[in-house]
Amino acid sequence: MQPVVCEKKQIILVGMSFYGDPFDSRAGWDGENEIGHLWTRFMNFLSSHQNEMIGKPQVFYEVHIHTDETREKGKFEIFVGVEANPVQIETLPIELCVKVLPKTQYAIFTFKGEEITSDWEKLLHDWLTTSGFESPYSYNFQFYDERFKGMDRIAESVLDVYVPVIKTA
Amino acid sequence: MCTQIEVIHRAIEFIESHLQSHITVAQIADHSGYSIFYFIRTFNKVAHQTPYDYLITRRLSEALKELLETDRRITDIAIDYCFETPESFSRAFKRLFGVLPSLCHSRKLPVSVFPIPQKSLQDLLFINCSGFIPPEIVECKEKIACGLSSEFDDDWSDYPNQEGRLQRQVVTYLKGRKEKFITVRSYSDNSWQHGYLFRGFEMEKEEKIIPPLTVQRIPPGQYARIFYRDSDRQAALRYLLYTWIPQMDCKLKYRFLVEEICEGAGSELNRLVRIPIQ
Repeated sequence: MQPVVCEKKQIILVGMSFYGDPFDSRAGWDGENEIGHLWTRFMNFLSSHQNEMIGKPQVFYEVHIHTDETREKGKFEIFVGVEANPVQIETLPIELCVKVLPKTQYAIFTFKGEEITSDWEKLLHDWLTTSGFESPYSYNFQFYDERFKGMDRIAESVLDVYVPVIKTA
Repeated sequence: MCTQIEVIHRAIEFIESHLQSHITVAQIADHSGYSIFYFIRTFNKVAHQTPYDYLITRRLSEALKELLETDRRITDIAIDYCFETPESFSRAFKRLFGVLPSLCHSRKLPVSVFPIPQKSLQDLLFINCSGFIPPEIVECKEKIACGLSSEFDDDWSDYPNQEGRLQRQVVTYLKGRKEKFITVRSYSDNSWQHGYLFRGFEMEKEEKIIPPLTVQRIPPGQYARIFYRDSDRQAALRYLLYTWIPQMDCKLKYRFLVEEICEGAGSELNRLVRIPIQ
């Protein structure tokens, strides 16, 4: 799969985050993971605070941030959020936090149907090792817009994954 | 093509062969051919534990065995199992077992301290079988049973026969009466391998005991229990003892377990094992 490479401006996101192994279910094993819980928490917050700040967003981001502990222990920071502008941030409710994604080039991979639940992270990794690009930042994000119909309609869904890249010397 | 269960089993074998060397979750994921994100997702789904938690649990369990079986210094054992300092080893040890390693040289261990063995392929197949129901904590009333007991050495292949022999002996004293049978296994040490097997029928407190049968009291209180198919007895017990209870905010109270058949459960999962907790 060949991604589209393009430049993006700085993106300001407001949302909520989780840190740890997102699939650590402990004893309350019920198939639900921390990413699912995070989305539920964020969407519930949005629906009970609609129009107060960010209106009714149509586009959502899920950012995966690799930390020092990712390789060692399998821990990630996961952030889910929506775009906001600097003025909105000044009145940000205490429940939300801000992520600023830098202006950079991205390789954009588009996954359809069952590909969305496959090991596409490996595909990104393999592409990076052979493409003549490298990632200057330790994150990637998933971009959910109207093309994503939900996990229960995955066969009809489309998801874009953005990986920050620069051309290697 | 390998199934996810086989891939995770291979990852477990890889972890087991690296308990005394510095490996990262990323290296285990590489070995499995998955990205780290997909690997931790799959490992948790298949093994009900994070890969890092599994690695640390197994290191601590092997360290516990050495503490119990040798005269080696805690510092040396900690270094062997890749803990940077004796303090970090002690902290992790206490978090898992509830006591400091310095208190584990004696044989008089608290009930909650026992080594957690390697997860086998059978363990993974049990967790991922159709109809798997996660364990739960229940409040149980006192039960009194009347029957016979004998020593056992955890020979799993002979265990059903041993239970059957005891039951046949007990039945001879019942003179045709149909009773609900129950098994109690009391363990003599923290290896959960040796002890006494009791097989008997439930009776009312005031009922008269039939000589030469003996009485077994099963105390009331909280128990962790799991349902299973007859063929999954060992895997069900292992899951409850080695995966589920260590992840709960509870500890074992006594070193025994109760096995019962649930009539009218309406499925193949008509057997249950329960272990007292606090």
